[in-house]
Amino acid sequence: MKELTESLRQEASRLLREGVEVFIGYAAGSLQASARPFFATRPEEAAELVFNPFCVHNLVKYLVRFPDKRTAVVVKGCDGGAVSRLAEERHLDREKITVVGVPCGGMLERERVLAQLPPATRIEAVEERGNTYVLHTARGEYPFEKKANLAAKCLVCVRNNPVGVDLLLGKEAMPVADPERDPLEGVKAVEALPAGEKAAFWDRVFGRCLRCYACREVCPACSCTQCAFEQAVPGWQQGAMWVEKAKNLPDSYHYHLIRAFHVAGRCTGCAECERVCPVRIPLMLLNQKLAKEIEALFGGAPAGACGPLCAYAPDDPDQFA
Amino acid sequence: MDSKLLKKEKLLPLLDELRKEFLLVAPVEEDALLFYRPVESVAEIKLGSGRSVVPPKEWFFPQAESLYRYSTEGGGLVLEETLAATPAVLFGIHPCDLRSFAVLDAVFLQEPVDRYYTLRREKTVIIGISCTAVCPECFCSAYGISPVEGTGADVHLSEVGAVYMVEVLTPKGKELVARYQEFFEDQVAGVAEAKEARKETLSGQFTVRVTVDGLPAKLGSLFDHPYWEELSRRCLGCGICTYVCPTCHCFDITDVCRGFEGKRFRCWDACLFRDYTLHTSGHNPRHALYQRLRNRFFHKLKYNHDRYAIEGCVGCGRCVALCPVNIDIREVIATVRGLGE
Amino acid sequence: MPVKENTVTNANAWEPKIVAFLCNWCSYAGADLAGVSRLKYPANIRIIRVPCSSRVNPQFILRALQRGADGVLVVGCHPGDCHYVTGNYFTRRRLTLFKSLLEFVGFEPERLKVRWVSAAEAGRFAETVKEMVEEIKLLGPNRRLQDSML
Ligand code: SF4
Ligand code: SF4
Ligand code: SF4
Ligand code: SF4
Repeated sequence: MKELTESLRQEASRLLREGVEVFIGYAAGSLQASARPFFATRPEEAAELVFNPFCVHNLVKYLVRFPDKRTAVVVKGCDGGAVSRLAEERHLDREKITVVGVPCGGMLERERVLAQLPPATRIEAVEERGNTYVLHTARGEYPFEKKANLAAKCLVCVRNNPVGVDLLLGKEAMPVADPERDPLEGVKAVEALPAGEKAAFWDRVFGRCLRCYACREVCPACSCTQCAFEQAVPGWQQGAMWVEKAKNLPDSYHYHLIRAFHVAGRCTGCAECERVCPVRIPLMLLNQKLAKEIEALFGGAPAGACGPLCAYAPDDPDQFA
Repeated sequence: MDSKLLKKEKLLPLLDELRKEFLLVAPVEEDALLFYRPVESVAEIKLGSGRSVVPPKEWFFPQAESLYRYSTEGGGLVLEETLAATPAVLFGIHPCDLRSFAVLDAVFLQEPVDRYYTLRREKTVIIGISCTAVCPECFCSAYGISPVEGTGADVHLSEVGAVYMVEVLTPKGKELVARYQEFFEDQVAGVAEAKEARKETLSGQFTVRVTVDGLPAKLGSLFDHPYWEELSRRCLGCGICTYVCPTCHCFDITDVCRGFEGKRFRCWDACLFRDYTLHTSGHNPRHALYQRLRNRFFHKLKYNHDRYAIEGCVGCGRCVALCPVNIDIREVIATVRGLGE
Repeated sequence: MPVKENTVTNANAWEPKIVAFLCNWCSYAGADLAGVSRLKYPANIRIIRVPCSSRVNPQFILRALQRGADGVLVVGCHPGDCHYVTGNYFTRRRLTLFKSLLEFVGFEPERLKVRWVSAAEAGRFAETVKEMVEEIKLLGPNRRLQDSML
C-alpha cells in the first residue's frame, strides 16, 4: 500500500500545482484502523494523503460542494459510478473534475479488525499479500484474510478497478469477490420470509431509526438540492411536510420506502448509506431489492439520463391490464 | 453515605422484584446494539454491558413526546393533558451518563421548570453501575468523572469480584435499599479498597488524554478562526452527533392536526440540520455548515459552561465512535487549545 | 382533509375506505359514465381526480394509507392512450416497482391496486371497485401504516 500512497501524494501535489484547487482524498483517522475524508488545497498538504483498506468512504458527494472550483477526487471502483451519475444529472461539471482512480483490493470491516487487534495498538503499515492484508504494528504482524474480514459489499465486488477515470494509479487489482457468495443473499432471505415475519423484521429495524438523515446526506444519489423530507427553504413543496419531525414508525416507513425509491435505478451500490447508519439499519437490502426488480422487469430496455425510472418501453411488463 | 453489598447472583432477582413495583428501564440488546428500554422480563437485560447507542437521556427527554391534545370541534377549544409518568427504575447507568443528567437538570429544572422532564425525573430511581473497561473513544476523565463514580445515581453498583459494592447516595436510594433490604448484605473490609484499585486500573486505560482547562475562554477568541470551515469540509451535517449525545437537549415543537383534533409534540432537533435556525423570512443566520458545526462545539465546550457552570460534554465518546467521517471532539479540543488567536 | 377515523362498532360493520386516484381523461370519465349509466358499485371509495396517473407520487399512496385509507386505487388510461402520450408508461414502471417494495417490507400488495380504465369502460370501473372492496374486506383494516401521531 506504501507505493500506492506514494504515487497518490505525488499526483495530488502535481495536480495542486497545476491548478486543481481542492484535492479530495483520504487521510489517517484519529481512531484505530480508520481513515477520514481529507481536502488538500496546497501542494504541501498532499503529504497527508493515504490509501489503505480503511478508506471506505465514497468521496464523490463532496464534489457538489465545490461547483465553481477545479477539483480532483480519489475514487475506488465502487465510487466511480457516482461521478458519471451526478455529471449526467448535471450536478457536476465533469470538465472541472480530475477523477483519480485507485485499484482496490477490498476494504476491511473495521469492527472485525478491532475485534482481533489488541486495543490501542497503532497500525504502522498495511501490506497487501495476495488475498490477505497484513497489518504491521509495534506488537508484530496481524494477518487478515480477505474472505473472512472484508466489508460485505467488497466480498461481492467485481469493480475493483475503477473505470471512466482521468488518472489511474497503482497496479491492477485482482478481483476479490468470493464466487461462492450470492450478492443477493440477504434480499432473498427477506423475500423468503412469510409476510408477517417480514413485517416484524422491518418494524424492528425501522423502529430504531433516529431520522438523523446521515444516510441521505452521504448518498451520492440523494442529490436533490431540496429534499422532500425537509423544509430548509420556506414554502418548499407549498410548505408540505411529508413526515413529521417527531420520530414515529409510520413516518419512518414513509421515509425509508421513499428514500429507497428516489434512488432506485440511480443507486451506485456504494453502501455508504448503510455504513453511516448509527443504528445499523440494513438499507442495502432495500437498494438491492429495487435494483434486482429493475433488472428483472426492465433490464433489457433503455434507461434515461436519471435511470430506468425516467424511461419506459411500450412493451414493459404490465400487471395492471 | 451508606454502603452495602449485593451478591452477583442476587442482582437479577432484585431487579425482578423491582419490576413488579416499578417500570424497569434497563439496557437491552437489539441486533448487537444497546438501548435503554422498559423490560417485561429481567431475562431481556444485558448485563455487564458497554455504551448504549442512544443515551439514557431518552428516558427523561424522549425523542418525541406529546405535550397536550386539543380539539376545536364545534367552535370551542378543549385542551387535554397528556402528561403522565409511572414510577420507574432506570437501571445500569454509567458514570458519564449519570453526569449527563446533571447537565440536563441545569437546563430543564431552571425556572420555569419543565414539567414533563421534572415529573419523570422525580418518579425515577436511578441505579448506576461502574464501568469495567474503558472504551477506546471515552474521555470522561477530562471532566473529572471517574469510571467507577456514582454521583448522580440514587444507588450505585460497582462490580468487585463476586459481589457488587452498593453505594446508597440519596434519600431515594436509601428508601429503595431499605425496602428491599433482604437482598443486601453488610459491607465487608476490602471491597471499597478493591473498588478504588479498579479506579486506578481504569484510569490507565484511556487511549487519549484530554485536558479542557481554559477551553471556554480560549474558544471565545476563536469564533472567526478558519479552523471551523476546514473542519466542516468533511462534516455531513447529519443528526448523529447530536442525537447520540447524552447532553444535547435542543428540541422543536410541532402540531399534528387532523381535522378538528390535534396534538402538540416536542421532539429532538439538531443544530447541524439546515433548517434548525431558519427564520420564516427565509433568512438563516447559520446558513453555512461550518457555522452549524462551530455552534455544536461552542455549545458543548463553551456556552454550556458559561451559562450553567457545568460542562456541556461528559466525554462519553458516542459522537467520536459514531461520526461517519471521524470528527473527533477530543481532537477538536486539542487543536483548539493549540491554536493561535 | 383527513380521512375520518373508521367507526368500528363490530367486526361485520367495518367498511373499508379506499382512496382512488383517477386520471382526468379516461378513468374519471369512466367513473362518471358508470354513474350516469346507474351501474352499482360499493360506496367505499373516495375519488381524487388527477391530471394523469403519472401524477400519483408514491408518497400520495403512503400518505393515504397513513391517514386512514385501507387501500389505494390508481386508475389511468390504457398504455398507448395517454392524453399526454407517455405518462402512464412511467406510471406502469413506477408502480410495478413500488408494489414490489411494499411487499418486500411485509405489506399486503393488494392494498395498492392499479388498473387501466378508458372513458368508455364504465363496467370495468365498477368491477374494479367491487373486486378491490372484496379483497380489502378479506384483509381487514390497515393498521400497519396508520398514523400513530394522534
Ligand atoms: S443509496 Fe446507498 S448504496 Fe446507493 S448510492 Fe446512495 S449511499 Fe450509495
Ligand atoms: S442513518 Fe440510520 S438512523 Fe439515520 S436516518 Fe438513516 S436509517 Fe435512520
Ligand atoms: S460531526 Fe459527524 S456526526 Fe456530527 S453532523 Fe458532522 S458528520 Fe454528522
Ligand atoms: S459531545 Fe460527544 S463525547 Fe461529549 S457528551 Fe456528547 S456525545 Fe459524548
